[in-house]
Amino acid sequence: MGTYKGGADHYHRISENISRVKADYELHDGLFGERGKGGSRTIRNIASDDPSATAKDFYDKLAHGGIEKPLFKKDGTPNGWETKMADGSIINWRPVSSSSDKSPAVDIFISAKDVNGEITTQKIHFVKR
Amino acid sequence: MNTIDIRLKEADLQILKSVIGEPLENIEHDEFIFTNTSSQVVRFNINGEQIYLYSFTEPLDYYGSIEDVAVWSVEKTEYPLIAEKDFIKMPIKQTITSITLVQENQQMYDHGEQTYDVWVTRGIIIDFGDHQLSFEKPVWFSEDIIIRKGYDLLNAFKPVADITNAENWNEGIELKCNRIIEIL
Repeated sequence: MGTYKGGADHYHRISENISRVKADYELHDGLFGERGKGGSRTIRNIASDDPSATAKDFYDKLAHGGIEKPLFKKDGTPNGWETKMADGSIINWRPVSSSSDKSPAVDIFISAKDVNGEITTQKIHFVKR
Repeated sequence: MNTIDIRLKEADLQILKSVIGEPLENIEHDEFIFTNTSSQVVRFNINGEQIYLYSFTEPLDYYGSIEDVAVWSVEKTEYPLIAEKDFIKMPIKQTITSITLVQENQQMYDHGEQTYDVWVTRGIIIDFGDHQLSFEKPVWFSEDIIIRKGYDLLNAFKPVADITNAENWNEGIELKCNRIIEIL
């Protein structure tokens, strides 16, 4: 099965990591950051001075204790990382997204029953402040 | 109005049609850790031949912003990611009697005016006569493929209401969603 992300001693559910993430990133109505472009409120922006470092920090905290695998494009070039959590939630980190500003992004797919709506499925772009 | 069609293409359908009546020996996929999902690919071993169901992201307009959207394809080509996979094998040993596509039409309305007409292949159901094997795309940005084996698997798919309600659209925006079942 492999090792757990961040050197965790057990396989984490996403609910075990939410309080740690909430301490550093605002969470309202299950959504992080501010509303982004487009018609969906689940596409979000988190602004910082160093979006790449912020995206990695956010991802590392939320995905702590999950099982991480690389993602690829068709030609075999890397396309980020996917971490599966013990409750079935999936968190993807793409250092470079396809958005017009190529901002790093984190995708969160929630399938867990135990988060009680505290966090919902969403995509977060990390943009320059 | 924006029209986006990420259903399986004609070339993909030809491959699927060609395996109806053939024996499916096994499928290969990622190890099931908690959920029964495989990331980006499932390999089918059919009568000595290998075909792949792939899910790769492509930059597409996702209701007003360019995003990485997962797009499925059915191909015979082995792409480089396969070399990185540590597949497990699920024995099937059944003849494929039919294949059903779950095609989804999403229509977005902005204050009553239609702004998007989107078509997506939500899933594939392989029928063996007395049971089925299904593959479902869980969410627009995920390259994961949900795999199920059993009976009446269309009923196990995420309901369309979950899709229309999940996104929490901006005020005045409504998403309508329906599915068309297409038997090859």
